[in-house]
Amino acid sequence: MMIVKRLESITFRTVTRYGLYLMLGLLVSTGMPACKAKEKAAQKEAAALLAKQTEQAKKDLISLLSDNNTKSLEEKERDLQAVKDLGLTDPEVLKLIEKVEAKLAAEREAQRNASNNTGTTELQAKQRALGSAMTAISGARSVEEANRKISETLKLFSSPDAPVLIVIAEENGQKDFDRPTSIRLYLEYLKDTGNAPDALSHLTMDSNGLISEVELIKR
Amino acid sequence: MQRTNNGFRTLSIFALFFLFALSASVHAQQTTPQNDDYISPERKKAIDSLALEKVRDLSKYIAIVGDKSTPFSEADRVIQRTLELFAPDSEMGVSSVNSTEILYYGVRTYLERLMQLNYDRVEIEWYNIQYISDLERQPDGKYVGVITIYQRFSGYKEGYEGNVLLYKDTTKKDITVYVERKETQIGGRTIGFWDVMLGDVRVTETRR
Repeated sequence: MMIVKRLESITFRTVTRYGLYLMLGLLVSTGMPACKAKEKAAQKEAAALLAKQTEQAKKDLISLLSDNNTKSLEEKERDLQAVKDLGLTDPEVLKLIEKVEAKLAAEREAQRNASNNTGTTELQAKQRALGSAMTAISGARSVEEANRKISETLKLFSSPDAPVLIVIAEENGQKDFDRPTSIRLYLEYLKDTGNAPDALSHLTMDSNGLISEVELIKR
Repeated sequence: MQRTNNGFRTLSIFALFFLFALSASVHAQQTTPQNDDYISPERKKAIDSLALEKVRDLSKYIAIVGDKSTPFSEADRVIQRTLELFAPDSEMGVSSVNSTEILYYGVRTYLERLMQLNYDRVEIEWYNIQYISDLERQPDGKYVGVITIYQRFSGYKEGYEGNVLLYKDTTKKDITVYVERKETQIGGRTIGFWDVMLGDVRVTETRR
């Protein structure tokens, strides 16, 4: 009896085990082709997307190279960065990126030069205006005339308290200054004493294009 | 005897060495003025000129304040500028050809009295402005000197036939000048500057 029971148990276990193997085999054999198909479809989709992105990138880059592009330099730089962020490896795209980078660098340089030239001209104009105003104040024929000129001149400054530094001596790069004053007090000093204005040495401008500091050299 | 000679020789060598070291040290001080206290003759000249200029400015301010045609607001503003030239508690001497007494007033009082002088026209002119005692460095680091000036004062009253000179004198005055190296912060930078302050103005001579 015991032997029979044992035999039954062994048979049951064997059947169960092989049944499981069989089921697994069935699953694998039927499931694999479906997976492969999905993978292929995804690959096809990715390739299509890449092709589309590459095509669009080429168009964008060619547009950036065009002289008729009306976008600002900043916008062009943003567009280029967007293309670069795609990480495309297409040789034609990479070549175009190089060309666009070179073109934008040249544009940036030209813009910087133009801005520097404008800044220099503006500074020179301010320097000339201040120089002649100081001379006019010290040579004014009346207090009223001097006061009017002072009010006009202060409009060139960010504040009537803008510091004025007067260099009295310079040796080995070390400057000796007179007691620092403000532009309002300095212009009043010219009015009161009638002294010839000290030589303009350096002007500092603020972001609004107004003079924020003056350095003079004692005559 | 031999020992004495040896001792003398050793002493002589030490003395020579000491003298050599001393002269080298003096020479070094004269030729390599690298310390902060050293001021080259060019810089000193610039400081001398700066102090002289402050005295010239004072003369112009006094003329403006004394001028009867100066509007009150202008005179008041110039008084403020004048006070900034002086060290605190400085005094101005006032004399007259009609008296031997010399009175001393604070600078503001002096200027306010000058504004109120009972003349219709006042002319004040300073000339021969020069150092009588050069700026010399003091132990506290300040430079002190004395500048002398001559002041010509004329007071007029309006008469039927124009202005009539009522009073006139010429006074010689000595002005003590203090110059001190200071530092201030401007735009985040440390600026070293020479601060010139005028001290007492003493009358040393008064004549018609």
